[in-house]
Amino acid sequence: MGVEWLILTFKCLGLRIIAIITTSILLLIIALTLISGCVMGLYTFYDELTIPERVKDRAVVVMGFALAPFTSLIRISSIKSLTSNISSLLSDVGYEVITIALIGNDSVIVRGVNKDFLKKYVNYTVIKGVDVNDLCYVCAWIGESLANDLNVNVGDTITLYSLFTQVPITLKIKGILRIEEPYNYEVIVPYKLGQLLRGTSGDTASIAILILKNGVSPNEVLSKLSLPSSRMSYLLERVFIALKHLGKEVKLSMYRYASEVLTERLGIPRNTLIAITLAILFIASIGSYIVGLVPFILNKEELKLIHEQGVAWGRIRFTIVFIGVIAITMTYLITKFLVSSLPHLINVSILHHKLSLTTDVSIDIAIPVFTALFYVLGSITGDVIED
Amino acid sequence: MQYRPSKRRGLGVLRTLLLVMLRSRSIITLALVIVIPISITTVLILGSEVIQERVAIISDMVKGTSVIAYITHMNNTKSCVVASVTNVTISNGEESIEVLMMTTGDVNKFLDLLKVRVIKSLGKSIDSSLGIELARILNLSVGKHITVCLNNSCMKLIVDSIHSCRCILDYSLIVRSNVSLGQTLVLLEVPRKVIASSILVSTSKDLTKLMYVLSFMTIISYIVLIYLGFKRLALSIRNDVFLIHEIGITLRSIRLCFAIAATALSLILTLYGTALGLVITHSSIWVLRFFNVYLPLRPTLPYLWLTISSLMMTAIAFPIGYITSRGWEHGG
Repeated sequence: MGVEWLILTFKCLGLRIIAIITTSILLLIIALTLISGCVMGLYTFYDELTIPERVKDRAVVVMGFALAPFTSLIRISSIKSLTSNISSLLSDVGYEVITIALIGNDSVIVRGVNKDFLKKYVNYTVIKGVDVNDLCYVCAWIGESLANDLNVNVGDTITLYSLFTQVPITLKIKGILRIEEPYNYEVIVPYKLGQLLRGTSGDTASIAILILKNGVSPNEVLSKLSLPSSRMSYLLERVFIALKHLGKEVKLSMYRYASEVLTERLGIPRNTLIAITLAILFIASIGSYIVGLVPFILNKEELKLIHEQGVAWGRIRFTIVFIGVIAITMTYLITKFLVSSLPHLINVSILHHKLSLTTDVSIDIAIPVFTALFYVLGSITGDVIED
Repeated sequence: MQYRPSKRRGLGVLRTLLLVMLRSRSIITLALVIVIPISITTVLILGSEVIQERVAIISDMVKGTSVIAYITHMNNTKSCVVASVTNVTISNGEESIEVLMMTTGDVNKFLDLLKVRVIKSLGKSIDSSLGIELARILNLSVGKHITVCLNNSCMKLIVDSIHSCRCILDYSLIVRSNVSLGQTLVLLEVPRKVIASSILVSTSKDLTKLMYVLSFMTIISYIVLIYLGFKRLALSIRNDVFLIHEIGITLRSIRLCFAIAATALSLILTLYGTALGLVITHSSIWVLRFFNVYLPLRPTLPYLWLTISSLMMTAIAFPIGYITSRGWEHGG
């Protein structure tokens, strides 16, 4: 009979059934990808805040052992003594003060930066007003996206409230910047002013960004700092070093993600979060069991007919599984392409930062595998016998 | 002869259909496609409730007072100070710098409200006070003259006092004047948790929005599956439907009864899924203690979400129920 049974089953199922299977799976896979992408995106949200896009592959970030970059506080002198041994590996060190402030009813991120660091390592152009100036204590610059969100313009006065200061701070918008992420969604102020908003002064910063020399890998930096580099799976990965102040002693810890510092403080390891996400995906993908039953629900009579013509049930089920696996692979690839080309597919912002959909290898594998598992289960257990 | 059923007979058909549907094996399929998305969305919505409860707890923990500024004009009571804010250029004759100038009717009251310390002053009543950092940058002290320029018109002032607060006012000039220059602010002392709560609530709103978006997405992704669940149920009970039809009830009436019964079943399954989601969330919060995370929270489902999910399920189930039973008219 050759592959005639395959053609016969395909014909019997028809385009309508294939379209229903593909659409159902596409919707399910999109939902699963978006749910897991958002959960992981929330988890890595702090990472996006800490490293400028332009140097993300050659930077090591040092932060305090705090819950978030907004509450992190490090001594610049500690960083200088820390980096004195590795100065030959570094091309520069930049400091930033990051805090949350309230403008009207909106919480925004305010970042205190040095003009030189901004000019060297961040891509930006002034689209309105004047360029960033370190010596202005009444001035603020604003990312184009945030300016649009808040509907403010050059010359406008904004009143900011910070958790760390008792008095409101009134600033004048001096310029609107077309600037790379994450700065695009933030208010940029001179470093000193940033410190005032953070309720600190002098020798302090929220984070230090160690810019590595060309050809230097984070592994080399870690080994020089006597930190275990075994967790680094490949070169040029993001590295965060957290400073724990234990009495007068400063202890260093290495993390792959800034958010790992947060989860360590809260006691939930990253693996637990991934396990919870996988559990949600497993439960949500049970729906594909029903998709596996589609031919048995909608084309029952036709299937009976080709079975009577001599096509074994095993072969019919094989064809249904085959169609499903192709549909799952195709829709999954389409979804991945969609998500990678549109990382802000879901228009949700946190502190005006567009939430990026991120993923993890285990989740990447789990989505098609779980969907296929339940689909195959549906195709195998589906029958044409009436109740 | 076929006829439309009377009200009593209609109820009988509805009851029979409900019993037949409940006895059918396909009810499990329907239960899966309704209970799964509803419990996932319940967990997501409860997640946003957990965030909001945490925000309330954290806000309550914030102690002390802060000064809040209202831009709209209020009646000047004893507890508030009216000030205006503008940018000026001040100069010591050699250097000039753009700073924030605050003008107020009573500089002493203004400094008291903002808990700003006067370090040096010429007398008790202050007419102009310079921030300590500004004084350091311009190398100024009390009794010295400064030139203040606003929109090309300049005037000379004597620095009456130097103040310090380790805040933005260290870089500002405060001048006594009843003339409002620039933006008018009404400054009022409020518990600090008011500001903390505003910041946290604004952030938690973003997360709540995300949870609602994900919830709607989950339900939308299951709509086709819900259709298939109903279709399977409709096919599995068609012999019983034909029996009811043979006793004289029109297929159209049976279809309507099926749609109503399917909606009722969907609502029951929605409640079941919601309860399951509640159990999952509360169990998860309990399990977190084994990871040393103690959350003293008992999130409850907002009535709004219960109403939305029930209405949404009714809006989905009734038309789908009616459409899926269309096959009976063609003998399928």
